[in-house]
Amino acid sequence: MSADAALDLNAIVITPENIQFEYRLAGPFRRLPAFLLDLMVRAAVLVALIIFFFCSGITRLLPGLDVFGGILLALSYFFFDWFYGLFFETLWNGQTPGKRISGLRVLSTDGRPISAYQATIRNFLRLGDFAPFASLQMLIAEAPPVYWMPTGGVAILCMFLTRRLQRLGDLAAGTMVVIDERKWVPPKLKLNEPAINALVPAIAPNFRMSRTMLRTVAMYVERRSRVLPQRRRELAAILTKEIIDKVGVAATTDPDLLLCALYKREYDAQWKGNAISDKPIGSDKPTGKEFGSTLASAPRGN
Amino acid sequence: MHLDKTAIAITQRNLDELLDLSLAVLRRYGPQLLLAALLGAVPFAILNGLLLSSSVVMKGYLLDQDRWLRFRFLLWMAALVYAQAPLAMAGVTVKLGNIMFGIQSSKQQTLKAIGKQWFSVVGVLAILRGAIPLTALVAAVENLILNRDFADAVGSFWISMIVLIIAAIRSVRPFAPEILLLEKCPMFVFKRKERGNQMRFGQRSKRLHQAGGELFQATFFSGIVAAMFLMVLNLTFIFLVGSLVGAWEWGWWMDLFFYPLALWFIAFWGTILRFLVYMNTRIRGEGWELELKLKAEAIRFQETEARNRVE
Repeated sequence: MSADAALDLNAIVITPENIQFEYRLAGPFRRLPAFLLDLMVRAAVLVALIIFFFCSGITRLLPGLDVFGGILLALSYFFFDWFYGLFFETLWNGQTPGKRISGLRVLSTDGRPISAYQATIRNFLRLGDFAPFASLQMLIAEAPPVYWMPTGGVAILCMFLTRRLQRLGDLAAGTMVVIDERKWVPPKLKLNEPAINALVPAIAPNFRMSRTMLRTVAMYVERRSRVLPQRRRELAAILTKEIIDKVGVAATTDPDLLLCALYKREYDAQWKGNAISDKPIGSDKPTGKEFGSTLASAPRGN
Repeated sequence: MHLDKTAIAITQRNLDELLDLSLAVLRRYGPQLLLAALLGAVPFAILNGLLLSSSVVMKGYLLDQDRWLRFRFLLWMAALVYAQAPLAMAGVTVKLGNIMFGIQSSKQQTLKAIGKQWFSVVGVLAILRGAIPLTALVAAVENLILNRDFADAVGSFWISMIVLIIAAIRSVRPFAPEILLLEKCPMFVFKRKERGNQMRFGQRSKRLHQAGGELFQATFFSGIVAAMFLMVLNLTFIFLVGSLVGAWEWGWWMDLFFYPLALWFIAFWGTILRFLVYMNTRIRGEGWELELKLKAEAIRFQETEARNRVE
């Protein structure tokens, strides 16, 4: 990425086959909910282990356990805590439960899935990322000098200094955390204005939007309610003035309503089975049935 | 305005993305912004130090380990920085606006841009948004009222009240510096013939801050993040001092130097974050991202049509 490129939270990966992928990076604040969720899972497991060891009566059944139960409990939790990230990230292709819920994934910096080796490195270095550790004594003179509070200063500093927002563990393992792109589905929107409904049949049956145009129009229709009416028309006119001849409606048609009508027609065709047919306009020519699948495979940002 | 030639990509974002982006902006443009931040913050930092250090040094909590005095000092210092930050960081706001749209600006040009709006800046950021009233109150309580108990009680009450009012206003109308310094909307329009054309600060503020609930939410969560950030910075400073000289507790060096430094750093970062939230609000409200996408789509359509005609 050149220094002049507009700043964004993107990482561009070019494969040996010269295919370019663009990933959206997750920084410390995007990762925080996933981290907290994983912390909750680990805490829940710790509580479950305590309940199991001390309340299930297992220590009475097995006499040795009343002596070694505490040690066994500590060891069990130690292994769970240290191998939690390693286990899930290896098994679930770079995701832990927290990351899965938050829509994040760990990838190698070259775009490939992470290996068990990388998962091990990045999870074992988590302790380094938590540093420096603070003690309550730093704030209250009478408190004992036990340095147990992780500040995460190292992680924040590393993410601040690296372009891919990598913490220490990521740097060592050659990984990055990205936002897991879900398949794009056309948003279901209520477009019941009579003027829009009236406009739909007036659209030339042979006019079809390309997949990129459909995504843009979908975005417009989704966000138009937040834009002032006058500005809406200005925005919609940018596109409608180019396509209005092909759409076959009067030149005086309200551009905002026209884009809504175009979207409604495409959406109804896909989701309600109202077939629209004939030859599509544009280089990529999805048929009605291909609608969803072509959109899902369309590259992000188009 | 060339939306396709901006320094930060025009995309609608969530708050967590904006928080991450603020770090990226700080990394890329921090050095350019630092001088403007220092020019604004240093005079206020010295003033605050002079106003409040008397309670640290003269009234002797260092000697007596008076916890209440220390707590009050830390709280009032935070209150002062919070109230003064929009005014002190005016230069950063101007500079950020220029960077965003690729305008090179010197120190003098930045100062000139603020100077042109001096009346509104003083009126809104210094007086109405509480920077001067709070500073004056702290100065009076700390240095003029001789009865210590009376000063503590009255000062604490009124300082808390002013801070709460400032926080309430700023949580739903946070973009006053951007409206005044980037959009150049004056507080009042004095010339009658300009009244129809020139939008006043109040009008613009009302229009820009329509999504009050969302802005409050963003301010609330940013405040929590800022508090956590402040804690991390202070503990890191203690760790660094401890590692270097073996003093592992919160001492006078933290009160007088590192704590205010951390506060001003948070103010600097907060200004960048507020600017990004402001940009995001405009991107959403004025459809900047939509404009770019629709333009790109119109061009793509033209190209496809031209290709089809040739074929």
